[in-house]
Order: sequence, then structure tokens, then C-alpha cells
Amino acid sequence: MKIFINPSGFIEVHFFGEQDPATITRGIKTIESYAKKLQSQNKPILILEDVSKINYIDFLSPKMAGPRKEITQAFAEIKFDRFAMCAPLYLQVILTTIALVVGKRNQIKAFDSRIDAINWLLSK
Amino acid sequence: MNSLEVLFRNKKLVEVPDGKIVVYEGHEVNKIYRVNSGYIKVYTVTGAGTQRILFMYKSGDVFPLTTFLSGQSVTRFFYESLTPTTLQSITPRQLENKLRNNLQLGEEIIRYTSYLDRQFLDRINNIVSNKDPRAKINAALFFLCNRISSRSNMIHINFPVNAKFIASMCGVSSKEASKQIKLLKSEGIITLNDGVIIDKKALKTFPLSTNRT
Repeated sequence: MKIFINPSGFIEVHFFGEQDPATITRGIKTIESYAKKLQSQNKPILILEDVSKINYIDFLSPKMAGPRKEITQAFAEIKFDRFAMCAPLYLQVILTTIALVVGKRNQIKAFDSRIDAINWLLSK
Repeated sequence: MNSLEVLFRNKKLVEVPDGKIVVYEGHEVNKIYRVNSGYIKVYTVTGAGTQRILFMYKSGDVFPLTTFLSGQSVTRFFYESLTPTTLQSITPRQLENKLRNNLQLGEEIIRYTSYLDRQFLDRINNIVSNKDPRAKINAALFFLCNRISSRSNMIHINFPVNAKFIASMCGVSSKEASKQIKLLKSEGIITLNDGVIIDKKALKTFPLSTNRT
């Protein structure tokens, strides 16, 4: 996983290859700490997550029960302004479903392309 | 079947005659439908202006759910009734309200869309990878059989599986489709009797070589 502040001011996160519950939990905690840092600086919290290069995740497998709850909780609790994800279709469906569960449909959006994601993230 | 009926409880049943386009390509999803009875075909229009049937929804199926939950929310295909069909519908807002704070329902939706996506991808792979007309037609008939019933060996289809329909499913000419249907009939794999009956077991063992004509 790579995380950094993009020159445009948003948190940019990339996940690669195989992911398991431990890497997902670690990823959530890192994003949370970056979000808190921006919050303490009174900056908007915009997050771009690129998961287009990860291996297939069976999100509904029993071993993912913990991460499912953690991800849902993180989306509910992190005070981001917008969260964009570049992802394959099956992960777009999962993200949008979670966005509806936590009631943040307008703040969480999935995209095929990075440019479209950034365009939405930075739009007024 | 799936457990998404709960989303459509007490929703009005609407009767749709066969051949009616329910959802148009390129439109924003403004309703999510559940098939109560009948069949809905999903197709795209090719550069030559002909239909290419990609998928089929049956009783219990919900559409266009994956599209609504994808980033774009804009339909990529046409959805048209293949038979007289009854549908129930909800608006995206109603779905959002049902899903709020309900992770269990969210997981059911993810499970269902993932089950449909696997079938859709298999179907697309079969269209793309099979070059031989007979292999294409066999794969299309298998798809139809499995969509209608995964358990039974004798599959009764109550809409016309004629050469035009098969050609639209497989991207072969109507002439080729007609030839292959004739062959399948002569082998007893397809029977015309108040609709079409396909012997799925026999279809499985039917040789795929086009030399056998």
C-alpha cells in the first residue's frame, strides 16, 4: 500500500496485489490517521483510493466478516468530504452499497477512470 | 431465487406485454425492477443495427441493480420483455432508504449482484471465445437452460427459440442458426411442443465439430 498527499491536496492511496484482513485493517488505520492530520489543519478531507491493481477479493467470504464491518464503520466515522475510488465493477458495486448503508451516497463515489475520480473529487 | 423480495414487498405489479422496452441504453437508472413472472432480455445494438442478446432475467431477478450500484449509474444495455411479463419496481431513493444502516441487506445485494455478474461474464466469455457456430449455439442454449432451471434436464422454454432469436444470441447468421436448429431437432435435442423443450443432458454430449452436418 502507498499513501501520500497529492499536490492537489487530497489523500491518495494505492493498494496493490493480494489483500487480506490484516492489510485491509492496516490500510483503514493509515487512512484514518491521514484524515485526522488534514482535519487538524482545517483542510478538506478528500480521499482518492486506487484499488484497480489488487487481486480479486471475495468480500463475502467468512474471513472478510471483520474487514466488512471495519470498512463500513470507517466510512461512517471518518469525517471525509469526499471519497473517490478507482476500481473494477465488482468493487464499485460493493463501495456504492456500503455508501448507501452508511448514508453517504453523495460523498462516496466509484469510478472507472482516475481522471474522472479526481475531477469529481475536486469539483465544487 | 434470491432474498431481495423484501425490497419489493407490497409494491404494485405492473403487466408488460412482450416486446416492450422497459429500460433504454444510456439512461440514468430511475427505477429498479423485480421480475415477478416472464422473461426480460438484455441486449445491445450492433454496428449493423441488429440485436445482440447478452443476458436474460427470469422470475425473481432484479435489474438493473449492478448498473445502479456501479460508479456511472447509466444503463449500458436495453432491457425488453421477451414474453408477457409482470414487474414490480422501486425508486433508487426507496432502495437507499431500505439499505440505510442495514449491512445485512447490503451483503445480500452484494451476494446477488456477484452471482449475476459471474453468469454475465461466463456468457460474454462464451460469445467472445467460441468461434465455431455450433459451439456458440450450444453455449447459448446451455445458458438459456441454466437460466431457466439449473436442476432439471428437460428444459421447457415458453418463448420462441427460433433461428432469429438464436442468431441474436450468438452473432451467427439466421441461415446458420436455422441449419443448426434443424440438426438439433433431428437429434432429438430440441423438441417443438407448446414452446421449446431442450434436452440439456443430450445437448451436453452433442459433438461440437461442424463437420458433422
